[in-house]
Formats: sequence, C-alpha cells, structure tokens
Amino acid sequence: MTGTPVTEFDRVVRTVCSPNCLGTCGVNAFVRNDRIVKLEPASFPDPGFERICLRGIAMATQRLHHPDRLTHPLIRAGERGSGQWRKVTWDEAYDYMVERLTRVAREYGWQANAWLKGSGNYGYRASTAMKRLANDLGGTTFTFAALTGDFAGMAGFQSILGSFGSANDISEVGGARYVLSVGRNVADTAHSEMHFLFDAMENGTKFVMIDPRFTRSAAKADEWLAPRPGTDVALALGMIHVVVSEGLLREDYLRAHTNAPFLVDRASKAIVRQHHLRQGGGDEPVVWDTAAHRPVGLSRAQAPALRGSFEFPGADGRTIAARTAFDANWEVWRAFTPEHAASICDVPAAQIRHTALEYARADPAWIWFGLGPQRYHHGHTVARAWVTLATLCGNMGKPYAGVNMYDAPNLALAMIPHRQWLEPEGRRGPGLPGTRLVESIAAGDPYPIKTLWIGAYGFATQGPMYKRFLAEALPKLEMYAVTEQMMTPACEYADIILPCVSYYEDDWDFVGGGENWYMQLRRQAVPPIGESRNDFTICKGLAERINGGAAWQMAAEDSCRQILATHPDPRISAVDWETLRRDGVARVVVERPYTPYRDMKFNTPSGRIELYQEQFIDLGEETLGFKEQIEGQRGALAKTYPLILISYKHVHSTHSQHLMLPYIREQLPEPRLDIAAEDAQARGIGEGDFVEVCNGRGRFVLRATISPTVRPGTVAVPQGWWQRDFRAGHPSDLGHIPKSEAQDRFAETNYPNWDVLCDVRRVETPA
Amino acid sequence: MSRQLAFVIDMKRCIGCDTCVIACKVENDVETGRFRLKVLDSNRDPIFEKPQGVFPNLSQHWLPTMCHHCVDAPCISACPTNTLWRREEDGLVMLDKDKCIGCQRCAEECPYDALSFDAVHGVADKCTGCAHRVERNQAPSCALVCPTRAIHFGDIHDPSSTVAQLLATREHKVLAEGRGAKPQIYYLEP
Repeated sequence: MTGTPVTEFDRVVRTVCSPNCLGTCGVNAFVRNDRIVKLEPASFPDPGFERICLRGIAMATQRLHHPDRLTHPLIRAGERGSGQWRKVTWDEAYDYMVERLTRVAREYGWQANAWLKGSGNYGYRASTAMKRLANDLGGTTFTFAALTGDFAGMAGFQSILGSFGSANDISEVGGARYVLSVGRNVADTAHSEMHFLFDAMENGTKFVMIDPRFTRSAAKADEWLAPRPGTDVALALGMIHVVVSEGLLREDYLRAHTNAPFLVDRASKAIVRQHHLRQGGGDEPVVWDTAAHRPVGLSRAQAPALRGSFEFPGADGRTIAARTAFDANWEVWRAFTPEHAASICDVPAAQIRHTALEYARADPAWIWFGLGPQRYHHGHTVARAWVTLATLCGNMGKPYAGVNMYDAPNLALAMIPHRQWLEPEGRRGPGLPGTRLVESIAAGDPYPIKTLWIGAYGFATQGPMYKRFLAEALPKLEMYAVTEQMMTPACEYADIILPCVSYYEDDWDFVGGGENWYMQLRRQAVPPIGESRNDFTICKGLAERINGGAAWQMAAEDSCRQILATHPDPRISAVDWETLRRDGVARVVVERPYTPYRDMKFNTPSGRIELYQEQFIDLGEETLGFKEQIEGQRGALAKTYPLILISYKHVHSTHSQHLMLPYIREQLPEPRLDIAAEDAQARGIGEGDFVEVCNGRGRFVLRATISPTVRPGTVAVPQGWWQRDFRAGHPSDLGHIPKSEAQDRFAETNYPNWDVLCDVRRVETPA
Repeated sequence: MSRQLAFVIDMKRCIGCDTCVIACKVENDVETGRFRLKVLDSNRDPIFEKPQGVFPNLSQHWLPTMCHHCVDAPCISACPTNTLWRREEDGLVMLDKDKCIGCQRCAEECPYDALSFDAVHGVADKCTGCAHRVERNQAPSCALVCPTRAIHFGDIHDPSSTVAQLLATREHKVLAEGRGAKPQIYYLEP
C-alpha cells in the first residue's frame, strides 16, 4: 500500500551527488532489489556539509529507471530526427563508429573528428574520458567553458587578478560581517549552502542581494538592490564614486598591491617605463616618488603618489605628460555620481550611496559574484568592476572578504590540466573554441570537421546554437554521436547514441568539491541499467578498436589513486588516498580561513592587481568604464524588441538534468514567462495566457504569469526546460554569441545568455 | 510531564525549496498527485509562486505544513472508527489504515488540510511525524533533509531540547489558533 514507509534495505552505499551544481553532496543511497529507494545525507568530517536537496533525491530515485532512460546503444533507422532507432550491441555500435571515424581520418586527418564534453557529470574519470580519447587519437576537442556562459567572468578575473576565479570557503562565511551578493542567487541555486549564510545572519552578518529579478535569495536578504539587467558596471561605478569621494580608499593598499600608482602617458595611454625615461632603462614601471619629487622605477620609490599629474623629460628629450593609473580611471569614474549611476541602472541614488558606505566600512566585507551578471557581451567588465570596488576598499587577499566566484578542488581539477592523464604518452589533439562550433563545422574553418561526438551536455537546451547546428552544421557531418543517459533533445538528431551510466551505477571515480575543500569517492550503488557503460569504458572500447587501447588498460581504483597522486596541483596530490578509500571523503588541506591571494601575489603582467589594463588600450578598456550591452535597452534594437529576456536558474533543477523527473514536475509542472503587470496589460496578456516570445533569431511559446518579480521592461523564463515543455520553439533559439575582442584575447568569446532583447505577444493558438 | 513531540519550523530559514516535500514522498512511498507535506508560499499557492507587493518592494515567505499533531485533534473526534488516535507517550497523532472506512470526515474537520485520501485503497493518509523513524531515534525525514536547517523536531516538554529552546527565545505562532485544536507545529516568525 502506498503511504507505507520503506524500512528494509539490502545495502546502503555512500557515494556523491555530482551534477553541475557545485554542491557535491555526499549521499547514502538506500538500495533494495537493486533499486535506490531512498537518499539521505552522508556523514562528513564537517557536519555542515551533511546535506542533500530535492534535485538529488529526485535524481537518485527517479532518473535511473525513467521512461526516457537509454538502455542500449541506438543507431538511427530513418532520417535524422525521425525518431526511428535500431537497438544494437556495443560491438555493432563500435563497428559503426570506427568505420566512420577512420574513414574521415583517412580523408581529412584525425583532427576532422571532434569531441565536445559538457559539465553534466563531475566524476573526474568520467568527465575527462572524451578529451583523453580525442588526445589519444589526435582528434579535435571543442572547449566548453565559454559555451556555458561562464567564461566572461573568468576573463574579467584573469584581466585584473591573473586568475580564472577564486572564492572563500562557504563554511567560513560566518567570519564576514557583510555579504554583498552580486547576482549569486544562492538560495535557488545552492540551497545546500544557505544554512551557512543563515547561521552568519543570526550572528549579525548583513546580507545584501543585488539581482535584477526577485529571487528566493532576495526574499531572504536584509536588503535587495534591483538594477536594470546588464547595468551592473554603472551600479559598481556609482558605489566606487562614493568610496572615493568619501575618502574611504585604502591608499596604502593601493600603492602596495595594485598598479594604481603607475604613471600613464597621457598621449599614448601606455604605462611609463624606465626605458621611456632613459635609453636602455628597462621595462620597470615608473611611479612619481613624492619623497624625491621625481619619477622613479617602482622598486626604488619611497612614497609613490596615488593621485596626480606630472610632467618630466623623456629619453628622447621630449616632455612626458603623465598621470597616475588611478587618475586615468578617475577621469572615467568621476562622472558616475550615484545620481548618474542611478539614471542608468535604476537603483535609487540613496540606496547606491548607503550600500557603498556600508560595504566600505564593513570589516570584513565579502562580495559574492554570481555568473548571471557576467552573461552579457561586456560581462568581463562586470567581474572587473566588482573586483575593482573590492580592491579600492582593500578587500582582496583579506580573510572573509574578497570577490568570490568559483574555487575549490573542482576548479583545480577542471582548470589545471593534468597532462600526464589527459595526454596519453604525450599525444595531444588540437582544440577549437566551442562557441564557434557551428561556424567551424559549417565553413570548415579553420579545417574540416566531419564527425562530432558529444557527452554530458544538454546541447539542445543549454547552448545557444542547437537550432543553427541542425540547419548549418549537422548536414556537413558524417557522424553525430551522443553519449547520454536519457533521450534528451540533443539525442533526437543523432546518428548514434551511446548509453552511459548515472553516477549511481558507476564505480571508482572521484569528485572535487565545488564549494568545499573535500574530495569524495564515487562508488556503485546499483548495477548499470541495461547495457549502459561508464564514459571511461565507452572511450576505452573505441580506443581498443583503433589503436589497441594501450593507454586505457588500468583498473579503475588504481587509476583514481594514480591520477590524484600525480596531479600537478600539490593540494590535490596531497589528498590521502587511504582516507578517501575508507571514508568516501577526504580533506583537501588548505590554510584556514581559506583566503585567495593571501600572499598578495597576482599572476598579472605587473604582478599586482591591475586596475589599469594596458593590453586593452586599443579597445578603450584600459580604464574601467560602463558600456551599454550589445542588446541594451537604450540601443536602437530596443525599438523593435523592447523587452530584456532573462533565462534564470531555479531551485528545481540544475540546468536540464532534473526537469523530466516526476517528483520535480509535481512541484513545478511547466515553465512560465514572468512578465510585469504593465507590460502584460499593454499587450492584452492575462494570467496563464499563451504568449509568443520572439526576436530576429527565434521564438518560443508558453504560458505567462503576471509577476512582480521582474521590473517592467524585463521578462524572465526559467532555464533548463526541454523543447517538449514549450508549445513551440525554445528560449535558446533567441540566443547569440556576438564576437568579443577582449574575451577572445583570453581564450574565446563567452555565450552572453542574458544579452537578449525580445518582444512578447499573446497568441490564441499556442503553436 | 509526558513527552510532546512537535515540529518547530523557522520561517526565517525556509526558502520553499520543496526538499522536505519530496523526501517525505520518498520516505513514505506517497504516490504521484498526493502529498503528506506541502510548502505554501505567501499566496498560499504551492505551484506558481509569487511574492507580495509591488516591484521592487516585495516580500515572500514559505510555510511547510503537514499534520499538526494537535493535542485536541478535530480529526480524532470526527473519526467514527478509531482510525485516528493520539499516542499518549509522545503526542503523535496516528492513523490505522486498516480501520479506515474512507468516509473522509477527518479531512473535512482538519483545520490544516493535512489529511489526503488514497483513492486506490479508499483510505485516509497523513503525516505520522515519521513515527517509524522516531521509534529508531531518527529525525523525521523532512527535518533530516532540510537544506537550510529550518525544520526542527523534538520534545517541547524537555527544556534542554532544541525545539524548547527555540520556542523560549524566538517569536512564534501556530496556524488557525482560533480553532482550538492545540496544534503542534510552531512557526518561528520570519
């Protein structure tokens, strides 16, 4: 009878929940008759990390045996997209792939075979298998970070701090007196971390939320600032103006740790260097020494001036007119009074002023930087702006302060390449930017790509380009293969689908904490469903048939131990394998409180925090300024498409992974468009009406909810829903990736998910 | 004094994530379409939530609600077959399905909409405070899984218990107090 608790189990297995939510919760899977019937939090050295959430529970109990679960390799039996499939054995699947991969390799070279691996699975062996295979065979790997829309923030961090990201440990948030969250919607996206923040708030920490949309985090915040989408730099500059005007600058800190005192040539905008002062003087930057009343090399200055304009003779005899890098910035910033900032970002000037004062005076003050604010064309400047504010207040490298985006073992494993593991016997295939995938395949630029094999990626729902991929790139491909657990929309047009296991069916992998300094072990709770295999085994089988697979012959447990022991990050290689093996969880030891840049060393050209960025003079970004977004509401396109479209993450799903699960759909059965009452009224839209959202690139149809969560002029749609959840089209069809010169210099242009204008109209017949 | 088990739910901490709802369904094998526990938002709508107020002056809170394990439970008085009864030793209100005739008078009398009806078997069903777990010295499932540590459960007659200490130090309320059922879910004010 339903309603009768399950109290008998065959076994309880400790493993780790590992979708792309950073939570990495340790879980106990309760198993009966080889089915997971319950999930509970597993024990942790720090009990604060004993937690699970609705997504993890639904995933463990309903995804493994879901009707859409893939159980056998499938080869298409009709036209692409016809939905007709033939169940095949793994041998047949490999024969099919080997035939195509080797034919393409013979004709175009191995680089014409390409792989794209997403972030849907945090297991290290699982998530690196495809790249390893591509390298083993000399195939192309498409990069992934910018496709997720996460790369602009990383580029911004890189530009000012010389690091792709950093963050304090969430469990230490209680040390902060003030938490300013810039679009880090922790309550919706990282609910398991929320209790640390509540504990801090109960002890007097103030929590201020900045988000254009009212979220669960805004509901829980002491105060909410609601900027117009895409105007965060103006808001930050308004706060910077207050900090400077009120004399709250940490001047000694700026002199010691930033390039603010460096002298900048007014004419060329270049940083003045010793060789500008005298022939053969070298590259050392020059500052104005107020003790000596003259320009001197940085290392010899006793009292560098932070502000001021100076003239002095140069090496060629001409007079150099220079000012400090701080003053070069101030020339831009001085216009951004709170009132001027308010006229752009629409946060009241008084609120900008008092937030700036509170932030600058709080000690310590912690900025949380979410990824939403950087999902605009100029998203790198958004990250730079908040780091600039923190720097002016002396907050980088300070315990419980800083600007906190992304860190912990997960970042180390993802961003520090473990060449010994990833490049078998030193073999390495080429890489191409994932955000140029459609163009690369469609135009054969920079070389022909004839097969594409993707995995762990909700290509159709999470990327901006699936519609274009189907129209422009897929016809050029001789094989489009997908490794998946479920028949996702990304599978529907595949030539071949390879069924892979969920985390609960996989054995021996390890997962680095996303927001905590722990490593956890993945162990098998239930046997693989159907014929599904783990990613490593799938790739191994292919390699064996092509090159004998010598690089893939190792026991899973041994390879986990070896990967960890030989990892280039000493914090990872120091993880105690025996503890991890015994307890399923082991600490990654770091100094406490964990404080990025504690040594005040920065991997930038100057070795300092770069408030002035000489490499961007030609782009007009040497100083930090506000730029209207590419589809800003004040531009010409807004006359045709007046509404900003936000696609937001929400509590019910991590990207597209959970929204097909009955427990989740019971809580939220469909996506709806949030629209403000006056925008709805102007368009004759009533509660629950079907509406079409469109721009020049695409359209989608769903029901509307008239909601005060969005400001007039902005509409919002929950992210991650599948094509079948919309009456027509998909929000991703409206996306685009306009080229960013600045981001390309770091690696590639980011997918600016939120830099999208649209219009909305009521439709009678939803199709 | 005998034990009185009660839920103390911190509305300051509840983010309405529905983890408790799903964990309850998993723990107690509750079929699709039926709930022992719901989380209402400020508009008392568990599905398409909205805050109250006008942009940007908005507020929103959430309210997990299940059986309130009332001391003077109207469902017990209404039940013609002794299906529902209150455990003397700890105050949990229990439901014996094999005695239920499916008349649903309990559901009509409950101030908290806590009784659901298992149409397949023609019987009433509700939260038992996870009595089967409590008997093993385990927290009810909702309290165990709550990611924000908003749901507390324990003996309010024991002054050293977390629930008693929370009630002693925080403003709190019960729902539908006027009905006089002496409900045992206490909500700490947001």
